[in-house]
Amino acid sequence: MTDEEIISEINAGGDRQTAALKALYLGKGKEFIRYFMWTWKLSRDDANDVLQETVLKILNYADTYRFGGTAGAWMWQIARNTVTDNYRKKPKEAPTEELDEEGQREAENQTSSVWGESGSRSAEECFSEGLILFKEVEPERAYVIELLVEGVDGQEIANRISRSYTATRQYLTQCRKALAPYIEHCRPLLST
Amino acid sequence: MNDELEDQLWIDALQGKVAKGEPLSPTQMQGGVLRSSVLRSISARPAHEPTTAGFSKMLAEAKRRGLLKPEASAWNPTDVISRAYHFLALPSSVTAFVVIMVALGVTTAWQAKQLNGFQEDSVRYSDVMRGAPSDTVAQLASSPEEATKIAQGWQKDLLAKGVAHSVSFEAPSKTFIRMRLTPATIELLEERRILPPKGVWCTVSIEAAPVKP
Repeated sequence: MTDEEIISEINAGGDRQTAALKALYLGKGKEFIRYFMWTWKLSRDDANDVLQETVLKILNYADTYRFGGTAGAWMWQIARNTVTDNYRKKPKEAPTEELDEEGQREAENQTSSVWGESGSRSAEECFSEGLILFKEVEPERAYVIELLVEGVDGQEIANRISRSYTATRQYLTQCRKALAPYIEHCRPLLST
Repeated sequence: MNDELEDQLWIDALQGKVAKGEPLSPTQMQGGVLRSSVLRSISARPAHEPTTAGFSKMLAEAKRRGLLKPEASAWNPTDVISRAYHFLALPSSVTAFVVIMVALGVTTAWQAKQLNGFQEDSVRYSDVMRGAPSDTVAQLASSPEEATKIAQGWQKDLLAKGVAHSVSFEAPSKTFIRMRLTPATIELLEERRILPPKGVWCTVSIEAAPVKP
């Protein structure tokens, strides 16, 4: 089901509405959850709460959406607004990248095993440290770099960050410049 | 190498688009290592996806807030208006709408012209079949002046009896007086030796008889 179809079906009501909500929650919801957890550093429970609120807002305002091929951007804008509101409500909570104990152990194991196999461990380690720091300071830009690496197309990236396609292109260039100070010191290690 | 090209090389390297066998520029190398780091970071995360239990909880909350609605009828006027509005919001739809409206306007104007032409020819009372159901009765005058005088006489009498009526004119000198059939109007018709038509309405058509050659 496309984003436009999801909104259209939500407006149809009844069983069609329920099916569209399911597609939205379980399908697009995956990317929403990821964005909430890894960019906004929400806990798993908080991310679920924000996802629920996002879907309810989309349901509530679906009949105000003006069709024209921008349904994805519209839904992402609601998700961003919802998570921002949530963040404002809890300004004093220290943002923590919440991994449960098992996840933390797994992450450490995976990382160390890959370092061991790589011939350019130092450079990659240096870049990873730079990336972690960059993500702390510029979570939105780090998220966009992730999307780029995953092969998400330009228009979809534009939708997710609520920018035009051209502005997104400029944003990517800015991301490169913003990241540079965090990894510049790793450059000499690249040739080794 | 200009900045734009450097940016593109960096983006390509991040996406894993690097030509094999060719020496890599520092930018491409940086992008490649960055890509490896990002992919490793993503794969190290514990997966967390929305669950069907979460979906059920969300549905229950939607119901509690009264956000769920029954299936819309295909002929729901609100839905039809809403869909039409959404349709017209599209630029191509606006063009189509304008074309349809212009076509409708031209058709209406043409039909109006046709109808006007028909009225100018008018009805010839000699051609009207006897006994045909009609609430129109005719009064012929010998001249346009006399036709005007007859029409004025009708209006004067109707006003005197307080009968509501409408008067309309048709070129060149035809007058229609429409009234409801009541004892008063029947009396006025009989005074003029006109047989009241059947039904509850009567239209008196007053015109000058055509001049014989």
